[in-house]
Amino acid sequence: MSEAGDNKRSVGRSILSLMLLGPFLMAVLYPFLWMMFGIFKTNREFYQPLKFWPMKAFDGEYWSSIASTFFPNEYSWQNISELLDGKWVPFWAVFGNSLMVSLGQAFGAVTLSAMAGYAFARFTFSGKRLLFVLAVALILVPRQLFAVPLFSWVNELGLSDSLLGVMLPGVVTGLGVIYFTQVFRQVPEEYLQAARVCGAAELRVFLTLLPLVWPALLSYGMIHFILAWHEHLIPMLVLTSEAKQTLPLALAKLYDVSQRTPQGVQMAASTFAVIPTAVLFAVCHRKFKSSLSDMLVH
Amino acid sequence: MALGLTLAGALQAKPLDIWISSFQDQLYYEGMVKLYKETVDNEFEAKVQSFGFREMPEKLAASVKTGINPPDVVQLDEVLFGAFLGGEVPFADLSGRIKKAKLDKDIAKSRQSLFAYKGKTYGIAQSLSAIVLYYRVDLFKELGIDPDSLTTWEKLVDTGKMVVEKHGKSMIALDPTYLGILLRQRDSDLFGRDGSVYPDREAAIEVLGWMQKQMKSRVGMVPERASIFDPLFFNSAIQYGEVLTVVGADWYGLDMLQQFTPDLKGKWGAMPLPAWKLPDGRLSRRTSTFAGQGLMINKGSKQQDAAWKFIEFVITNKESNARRFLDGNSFPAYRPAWKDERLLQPNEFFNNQKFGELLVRLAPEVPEVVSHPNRAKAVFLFQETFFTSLIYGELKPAEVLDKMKTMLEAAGPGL
Amino acid sequence: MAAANQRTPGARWMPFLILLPFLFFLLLFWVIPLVGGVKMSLQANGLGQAEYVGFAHYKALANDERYATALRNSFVYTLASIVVIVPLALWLAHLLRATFRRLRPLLTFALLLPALTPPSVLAVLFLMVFHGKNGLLNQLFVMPLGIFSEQALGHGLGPVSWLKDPDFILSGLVLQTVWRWTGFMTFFILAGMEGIPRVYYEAARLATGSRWQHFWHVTLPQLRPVLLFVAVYLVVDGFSLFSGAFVLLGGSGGTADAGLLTVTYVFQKMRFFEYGTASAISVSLLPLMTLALWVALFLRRRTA
Repeated sequence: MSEAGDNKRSVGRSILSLMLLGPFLMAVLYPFLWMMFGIFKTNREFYQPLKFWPMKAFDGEYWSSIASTFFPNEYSWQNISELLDGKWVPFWAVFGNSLMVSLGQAFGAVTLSAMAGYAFARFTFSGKRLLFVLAVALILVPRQLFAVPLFSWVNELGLSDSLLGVMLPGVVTGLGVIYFTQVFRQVPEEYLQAARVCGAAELRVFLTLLPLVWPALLSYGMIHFILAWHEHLIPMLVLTSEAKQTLPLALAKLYDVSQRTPQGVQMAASTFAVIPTAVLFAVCHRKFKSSLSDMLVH
Repeated sequence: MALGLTLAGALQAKPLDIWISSFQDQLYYEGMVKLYKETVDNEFEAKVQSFGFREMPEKLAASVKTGINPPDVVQLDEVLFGAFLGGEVPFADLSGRIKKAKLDKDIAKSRQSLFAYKGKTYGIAQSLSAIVLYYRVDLFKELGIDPDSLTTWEKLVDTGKMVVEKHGKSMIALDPTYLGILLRQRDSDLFGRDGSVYPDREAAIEVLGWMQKQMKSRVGMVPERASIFDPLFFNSAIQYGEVLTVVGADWYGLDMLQQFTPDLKGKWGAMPLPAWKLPDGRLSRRTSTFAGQGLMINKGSKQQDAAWKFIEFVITNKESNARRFLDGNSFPAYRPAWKDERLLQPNEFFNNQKFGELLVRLAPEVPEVVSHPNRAKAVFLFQETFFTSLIYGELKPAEVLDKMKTMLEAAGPGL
Repeated sequence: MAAANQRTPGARWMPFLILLPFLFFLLLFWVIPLVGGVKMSLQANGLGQAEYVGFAHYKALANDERYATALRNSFVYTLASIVVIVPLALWLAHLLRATFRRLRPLLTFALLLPALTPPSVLAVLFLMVFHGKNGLLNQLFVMPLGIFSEQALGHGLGPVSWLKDPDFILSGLVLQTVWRWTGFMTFFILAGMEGIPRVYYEAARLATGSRWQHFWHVTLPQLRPVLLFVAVYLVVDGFSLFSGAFVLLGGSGGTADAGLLTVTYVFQKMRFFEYGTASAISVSLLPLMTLALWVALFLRRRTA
C-alpha cells in the first residue's frame, strides 16, 4: 500500500479495484441520478415502479422498459423555471438566506474556534480541562433539548424571525474547538519562538500564525458551512415569515403533501440544494484532505 | 370615552394575523380577505400565513408557551385540536358569540360540539366531514358489481372475497383512521363523554379484528406506507386499479382524490358506508366522521372582535361556502349553504353523480366526535405504533386495545 | 507530537482574553438554553406556565417500557452502524488507493455525495430504495439473491417490507446510516492513510510479513485517531441526530416500536407538548454521551 506511482502498481490491480468499487459507486450515485432525471418527469412517470426483478439480462425489451421508466419521456424545463421563478417558494430569497446564514456561521465559527483552539493548545490555566470538556460536550447534546428554550431566549434578545437569530447560535461549536486545538498543537515550536522573540504580544503571535494554518481555517470553514446548510430545527422555530426561510425549511414545505408540488419541482429543488455543498467540497477538497492528514495522524 | 372608542376603531391597530394549517388553503383565505375587504370593511387588513398540517401545532405551541408573536385567528384540524385542551386552553370561548350570530342553529348539529370541551366552545367547524365509501365506477362495472348491493359490511366482504379470488384485486383499502371512523359509525368512539378511554371494549375489539381479518384474506389492502393520504398510494395502488374502494370524508374525495388522481376523473363514485349489524339487531348508520378544519381565536389576541367578524363572514358568506366546495376543498358545515344550487349539481369528477346531494342526505346521521385532551395522542398512537403490528398479526386485537388503553389512561393530559 | 504547553510571559489573563469571544457566545447561546432545557425537565408537561415537579419525569422514565426499548434500539443501531461502516470504509479506502490515482478525487466525491445532501432530500431518495415491493433494495438485492424466501419471512411476502416488518426496521435504519456516512468516513480514513509517513511503509516493506499483517500492525494503529473520530461521530449520529430516523420513518417508531430511537421518542413527546418528559429524556443521555467522550479522549491519549 505504498504511495508509489501508477506505473509501479499494476494496471490490472487498478482496474480490479475500480470494478470492486463499482457496486458501491452505483449504490451511492443511482439515487442521485434518479433524482436528477426526475426533474423532467411528470408525476405519473415519477411514481412508475422500476421493476428490475425478475431479471432478464439478455432481453432487449427488459432493458428498454427499464430505461423508459428511468428516463423521462420529454425534457421540458418547466419545472426548473417554475421553481426559479418563485412560483412555489421564493427560491432565490431562500437560497440567498441559506447562503448568508451558512457563510456567516462558517466565518464566525472559524474565528471563535480558532481563537479558542489556540488558547487551549498553547496555554495552561486553571479550569482548562473542565472548559474544554464543556465545550466539546456540547456537540453531544441532542438539539431537541435546546430547541424550545433557545427559541424563547432568542426572542428575548430581539432576534426572533431574523437571520441573525439563526446565525449567532450556530457560531459556537465543540467540533471546531477540538479541530483547532489539534491544529495549533501541531504548529512547530520554531514558529512560536520566532514570533515571541520579536516581543510580540500573544494576540500578535496568534495573528501571525494564521497565514500558516490557513488550510485548516478553510477546511473547518467548509465543514461548518455544510453543517449550517443542513440545519433544520433552530431555523424552523426562529424564522416565521416566508421571506426569511432557509433552504431545508423551504424543501420541507415543498415536500409537504398539502402543497401539491409536482415531483419534478421537488426534485429540482433537491438537486439545487445539493449543488453548493458539492461545489464547495470539490473546490476545497485537496486542501481539506491534506490538512486533515496532518492533523489526524498525530 | 366615546372619542377613545372611535379613535381605536379608526386606527385598525395592526393587520389581523391569520395562521392556516394547510398550504392549499392559503389562496382561499387570501381570497376571502379580499372579499371581506370589498364587501364588508374596506379598511380591513390581514396577513395570512400557512404552515404544514403537522407543523402548525408545533409552531402554535411554541408561540403559546413562550408568548411570542401569537396569531389572532388560527385554523386547526380537530384531531390536533385536542392536544391544546390539557391545562389552560389558549383559545377564546366563542359560545356567546356563536349564540348571538345564531350559528348554534345553523351549523350542522354534529359539528357544533367538535371544538367544545367542558362547557365551552373554542372553535367553529368548517366542514361537515361526512364519511362515504368512494368506489371505482369503472372497475365495478367491469367486474359486474352493483354498488347498491353493498348495503352492509358483510355483503361488501363477500363481494370482496369474489374479487380477490377471481381477479386478484383488493376490495377496500385499510387505514389506521378507520378505527375511529368505524367506531363512530357504531355509536361508540375512542373516548367516552365521561373521559374514559375506549368505553366500548367489545366494539373496539370487533373493529380491530375485522381489519385484521380483511388484511389476512386480502379483501383489504394496506397502502405501501400505511396511509391512504400518501401520494404514493394514489400513484401506485389506485393508479393501477389494485383496490376498488376507499373510506373517506367529503374532503378526501373533493380535495385529495381530485388532486392526486386527476386522470381518474369520471371514474370515481361515492356511496353511503355499508352498515354494521349491531348487537341489538338493528343496522347502524351509514356514515361517520373524521377530522375537519375549524377556526379559532387566540385567547391573548388584542383584536378578538375583528377576528370574530372575519370568522363569521367566512363561515356564513354564500360565496365563501360555494368556493370551498367548488374549488375542491370540503363540504361546509353551515346548513343554509346547502341550499346553494351550485353545491347540488352533478359533479363531473364523480361520474356526474350529485355528490352534494348525497352529503346533504347523510348529514343528519353524521355522528359527533368526543373531544378529549388525549385525542391526538390516541389517534397517533394507533397509527404509528400499533396499526402495523395489528395488521401483520404480531398482536391480537384484544392485546392491542388493552395496551393502548393502558398507555392512554396513564398519560394524563400534561403530567 | 503535540508541543508542550508553555507558560507564557506576560499577563496571566491573556488566555482568557483570547478565549473571551468564544466563551461569550458559549454562555449566551448554549449554556443558557441548556440550563433552560434542564429546567424544563423538572417542570410539568403541557403548555401553561409550568410548575416544578422535581424528578417526577425521571422517575417515570425509569419505569417506562418504551424508554427502555428506545435506549436498547439506539444502542443496537449505533453499534451496528459502527461495526458495518468502519470495516467497509477501510475497505473502500484501500480500494481507492489501489486504483487509478487520477480518479481518486472524483470517486471520493461520488462516495461523499450522501453526506453532502440535506437530510430532507435523502427522505425522497430513500423512498425508492426501501420501498416494500418495488424498492431498489428489494429489486436489486433481496429478490435476486433469494435471501429471504417466503418461508423465512412467514408473511407470504417475497420482498422485504423494510419499513413495516418489525424484524427488518432496525436493519433498514442501519442501512440508511451506512449509505449516508460510509463515504464520509472513507474520506477521513483515506486522509489518514495518506498522512502516514512514508517511513512506516518503507519499514514495513522491508520487514517480513504479509500485507494483512502490515495493515494490522502498522497502518491500523496509525489510524487510531481517525477511527476514534469515526466512532464518536457515529455515536453522536446514533443518539442525537434525528434526521436519519425521521427521513425513514417519520415520527413513528415503526411496527411494535422496532425502530424507536431515543431521538424519535423525544420527538414524539414534544409533539404532544410533553416538554418536561422530552427534556428529561435528552438530559438522561448526557451521562452516556460524556462517558463516550471520556473513553474516546482517554484512548486517544494512550496512542500518544
